[in-house]
Amino acid sequence: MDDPREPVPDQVLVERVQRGDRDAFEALCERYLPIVYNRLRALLPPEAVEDVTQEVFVAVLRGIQRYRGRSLFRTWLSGVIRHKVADYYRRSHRHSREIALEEGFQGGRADGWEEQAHVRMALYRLPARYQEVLLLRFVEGRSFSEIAEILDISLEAAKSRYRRAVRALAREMGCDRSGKRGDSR
Amino acid sequence: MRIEGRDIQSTDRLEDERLAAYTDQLLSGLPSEDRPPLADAVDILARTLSWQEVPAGVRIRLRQRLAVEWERQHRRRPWGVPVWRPWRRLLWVAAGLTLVGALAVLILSPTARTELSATSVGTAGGKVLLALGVAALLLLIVFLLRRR
Repeated sequence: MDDPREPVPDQVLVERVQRGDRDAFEALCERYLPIVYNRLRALLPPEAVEDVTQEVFVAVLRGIQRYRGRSLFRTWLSGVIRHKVADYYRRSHRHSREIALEEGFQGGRADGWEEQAHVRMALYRLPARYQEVLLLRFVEGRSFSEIAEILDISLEAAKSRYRRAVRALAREMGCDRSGKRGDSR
Repeated sequence: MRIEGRDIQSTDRLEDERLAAYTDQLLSGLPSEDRPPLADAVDILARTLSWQEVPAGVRIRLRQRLAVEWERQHRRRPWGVPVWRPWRRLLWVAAGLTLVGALAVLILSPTARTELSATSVGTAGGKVLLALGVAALLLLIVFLLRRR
């Protein structure tokens, strides 16, 4: 029997879901809904977040039988999120709108909405390992030691990856080496 | 040269530490006197990315959608249970099995083998192709049986 004080590990919940336990699936969704929802808020326009959140969990339900536990469940889930975000940008024609937005952004001072859209696109374009470290730090509010643990790397490596990720993002956003945006050059 | 490499490495590490410390201070709301390179990009990230509680409506609609999806998923038949579903699928399965049977007779019967040896199917490459064809057909049958 599970100790009620100890949260049931993901792997145990996943195995129960694979055996057809609906309560286990609900517990897994409850645990990861805030993370999925907030990651999608960082990567998608506000009007798409709810739909894509649903798509992610439906994909989890459909694909969980194929999950073999070779990586952490949350790593597998991050992959599902990335796929769904990529699907969203592929099927919507938002891409061209965002590019137009980016051109506008370079020219003058951007307001909050534009800045968010700009960060969103820059984050989306980053390689998965950089996107992951930034989402863990800024969206989930994880400390660098937690990030190191989640990514199974040393603390030094986590900080180094973080700086490379910020640099890559700055480049995507058209910032100079100090991190200043293009309009201030 | 080696010393130079080590210097670069330690400078990098120092920069990593500076940016991490700056980020920690910024996110905990404390002012920082040190402004490392890339500080502006960190400021933008801290300003635009945040955590928000999941709205109750989103939670409810997700639960409803997943309930429907769960039902749909678990209506699927387990392995070995005969399928008494759409006649068209059964027809395909029957046709596939007939074809597999015919190919098996073709490969295994001694008379057919003698006659086949004079054709392209009788060659080693032909046999491999035939075996692959049979395997593909079997896979198709399994796929059809597994489909809802």
